[in-house]
Amino acid sequence: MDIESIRKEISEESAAINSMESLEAFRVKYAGRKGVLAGLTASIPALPPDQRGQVGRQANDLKRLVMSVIEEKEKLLSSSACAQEPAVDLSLPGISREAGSVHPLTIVIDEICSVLSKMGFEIVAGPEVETEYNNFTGLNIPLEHPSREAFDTFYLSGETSGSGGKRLLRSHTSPMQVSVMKSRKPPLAVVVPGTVYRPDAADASHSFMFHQVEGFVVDSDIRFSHLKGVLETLAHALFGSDIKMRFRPHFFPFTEPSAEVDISCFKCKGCGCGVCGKKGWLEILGSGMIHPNVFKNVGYDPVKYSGFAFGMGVERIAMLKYSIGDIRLFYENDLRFLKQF
Amino acid sequence: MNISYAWLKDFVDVREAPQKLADRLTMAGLEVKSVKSAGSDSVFEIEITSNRPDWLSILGVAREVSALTGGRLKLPAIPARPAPARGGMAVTVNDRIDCPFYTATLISGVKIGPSPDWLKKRLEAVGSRSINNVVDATNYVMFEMGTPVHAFDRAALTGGIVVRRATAQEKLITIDGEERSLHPGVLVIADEKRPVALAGVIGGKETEVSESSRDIVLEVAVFNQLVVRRGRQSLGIQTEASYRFERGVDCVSAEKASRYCAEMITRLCGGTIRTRTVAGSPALARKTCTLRKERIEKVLDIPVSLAYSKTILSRLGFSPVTGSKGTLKVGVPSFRQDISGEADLVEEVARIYGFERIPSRLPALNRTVAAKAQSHETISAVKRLLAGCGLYEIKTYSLIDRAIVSEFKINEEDLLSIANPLSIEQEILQPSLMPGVARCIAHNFRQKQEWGAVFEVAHVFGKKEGERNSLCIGLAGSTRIWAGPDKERCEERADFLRLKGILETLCFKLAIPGDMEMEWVDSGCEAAISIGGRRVGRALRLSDQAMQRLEVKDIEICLAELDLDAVIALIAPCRTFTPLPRFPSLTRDVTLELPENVPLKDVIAVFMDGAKPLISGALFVDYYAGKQVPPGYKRLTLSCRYSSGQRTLTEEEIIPLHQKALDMAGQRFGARVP
Repeated sequence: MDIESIRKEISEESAAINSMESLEAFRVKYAGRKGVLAGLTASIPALPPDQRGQVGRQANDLKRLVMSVIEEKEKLLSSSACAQEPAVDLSLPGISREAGSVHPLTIVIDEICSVLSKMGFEIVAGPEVETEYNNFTGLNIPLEHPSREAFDTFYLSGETSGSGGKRLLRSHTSPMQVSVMKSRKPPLAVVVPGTVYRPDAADASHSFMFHQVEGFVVDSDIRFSHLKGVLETLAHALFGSDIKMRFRPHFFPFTEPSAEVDISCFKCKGCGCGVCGKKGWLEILGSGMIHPNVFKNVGYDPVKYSGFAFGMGVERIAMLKYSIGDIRLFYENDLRFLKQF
Repeated sequence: MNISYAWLKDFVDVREAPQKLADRLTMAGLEVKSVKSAGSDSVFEIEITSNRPDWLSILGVAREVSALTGGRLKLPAIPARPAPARGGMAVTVNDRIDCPFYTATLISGVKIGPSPDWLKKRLEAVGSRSINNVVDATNYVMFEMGTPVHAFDRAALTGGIVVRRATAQEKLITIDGEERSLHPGVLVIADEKRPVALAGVIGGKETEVSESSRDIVLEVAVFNQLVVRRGRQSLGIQTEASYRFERGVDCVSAEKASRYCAEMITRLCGGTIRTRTVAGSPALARKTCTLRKERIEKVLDIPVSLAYSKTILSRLGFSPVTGSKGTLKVGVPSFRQDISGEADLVEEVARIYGFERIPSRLPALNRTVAAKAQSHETISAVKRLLAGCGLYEIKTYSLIDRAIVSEFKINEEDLLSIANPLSIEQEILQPSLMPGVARCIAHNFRQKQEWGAVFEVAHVFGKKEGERNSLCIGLAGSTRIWAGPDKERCEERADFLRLKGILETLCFKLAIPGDMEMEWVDSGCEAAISIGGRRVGRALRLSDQAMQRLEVKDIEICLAELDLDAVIALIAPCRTFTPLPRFPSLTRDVTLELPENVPLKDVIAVFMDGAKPLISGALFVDYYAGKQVPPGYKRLTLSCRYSSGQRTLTEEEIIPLHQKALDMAGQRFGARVP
């Protein structure tokens, strides 16, 4: 066979390639192991020496020609192969198994616990049914005092009082301070998320059942400055690094000094709006240095040890963060509400 | 409590404008909720914490302003103690604990009339109504000094004053005109014949000072906090007087107020102070606390000098004296009953110094990281796994009604209940999450939902088992999932196998070893759930009766509840990897026709046994019970996998084993290959 006739054949046959199958046939015929070009190359040693160089070069040219034809045809065919099927309308809804979600209160609780956990706090959970001792007496709240009215409680019925007094549904997560401190020695840094109960008439901002997160730290040299540091870090993580904070002296029976912590309203940046009631500040936390009487009650030496405690209402924080106006939405569990998170 | 800015200035030099002063007070612990203008005056609405009854007066707030701003405190001039005289009101106090201190001042010849304008304006500013000059004076002194004062018309009293407990059947017409039955045991002020006032709470109509009064008896006393509380609770009222007594009024201040008010009345209304009878003693044991400089520094982390602390405490009414090195011996004034120790003094210094000036530091928290995941993190993981399976977490109320509990086959004797529930619907502490979850599903279906996939993790309560964590999953209704154009939608529906699928995924992803199995306890209605042979929960199909109670119908609702603590305890510390097979396996699919009551697991067991030792798995492929299958029968397709760890198997090796298994299935169940 001569080079020219092969070249002519390649040219004619490549024009006729119109499918992947005919392209494959072409490739096998010319570039395959037993194809034309292979045969041509194999015949070179049999040629007279002065012709070998030239034929060799021509064979290589043909090989390059064949490969470029194949590449070109491949491209052409694959793009038109796609074009043959009608493309789906990509604005149709995606096909998926609907993913569920966790409850918005869980999201907030987990976020708070996660920030504190990173700072070194251990997350501990406790019982919702507590004793009067843990809920009041141990926390320096005498049973007969006006401050107790802020802590009205649900009592369990039909029970004989145990050693800790009557059993009740805890009205705050602070009882865990008493439980944990009684069962361990300092140092400790603990965060307690939990469900609490108060017999408040239900309305848009009150629910008889709600959630709190409590935190406390006890060691040999804990100061008010540490309380500020921890709460500032927590508030910035939850609400953004540009919010301002203020610590206002307040009163809790189980801390001294006590402070309520406000953050600058993140909606109006402190100018005053509907969310913050025109004050520019939102109250989010109660805190203070643990009262020496509490230490005495749990068997810690108040001279050797000091500590701080803080607590916050989860619903309130969730309502502020997500602009939810009615606390009852959390407990109605309407799927149209839950699916937004 | 409302405070008038102008009135405040009577007792302290103030340079700050009202709003600025309000901000300073707020940052010192007296939260000013609002500042309103009242003519040329401003009125602060302050929220006073329950431990500071001494702030329930203009004088108390003035003291605070002086400490904060350094403004000069101008204490009111208290007239001298009257000489003891005979012939005064007889006063009998039955119990010193009920009433540790009582003064009755007899003023004769008063002229009752309207109060001067300045007095009316001041009372109005603090939210009180003007009655007449005597009554207004008593209220004025209460707002100014913090001690409640009451005036009786002498002519309406028979004999002397008796401070005693009420007896059964006694009644009192209070100054609001209402006749009240008195609970036996509440403290009353009485004369010889009958009760004339509810001590510390409210006066009686018959003895109130009116236009016709000429001689009055001025009562300034201290009543026991608890007794006053019970008294006002029994009548269901709260007055300015009872509010103060409940939080604590001290005898020393009361004694001064009795002199001050008597003098004020004679100035305003004429008349002469005749006698003053005192029962009990105003002297209180002087309390002293030690304040150490190092304590302030240690707790607050601020370098405060003792001199500074001394100044602050003096301005607040304490009597600090420099003690031994680095300490102050601080005399506590009578109006600071809230001070019990050094910690309270530290707080006083801190809040006047200003919390905002205390630096902010992070503590070095020594913490050991637990090797095993803590319970909270595990429960978080469980929630996110379930969310990944398409479920939505709900949170329902933990207090439920007895009626709904009875629909879920729960032992009623095990229930714990609330003694003082808000309503009968919230009487029982939930023994199970099923009622709450079912209710939530019903609520959503009434809002026109068609498919519900929810879960809840919460505490459940029972007498025997106590309080523990429970997980409940609820599925309801059905839905058709979009699968692309011209493709048939696939159906998702609530049934037991769907519940099983979720639980299997959960157990696998949590690395819980052992098989999760469900077995009918009440065929079609209730199944027991176990893991690795241990019972961990149950699954329930909601009965028609329960659905009727929940006011839904025609939906399939299936619930599964697990003891979450028990499930979490089964989690293996770590997963073990199963090496990938080195040699390819041979697969033989087989379809068997067999009676429909033969469970799949029995068929698989027979194959695993019959085709030993080379069979490595008999996997379920399909289930068919359609037209070609005779009634009472079904077809199961299994895929049998044969492999060896040492070599690639040949067909010849597995054929006899496979046949053996087939024969066993035939013998055991009457299964045949169709």
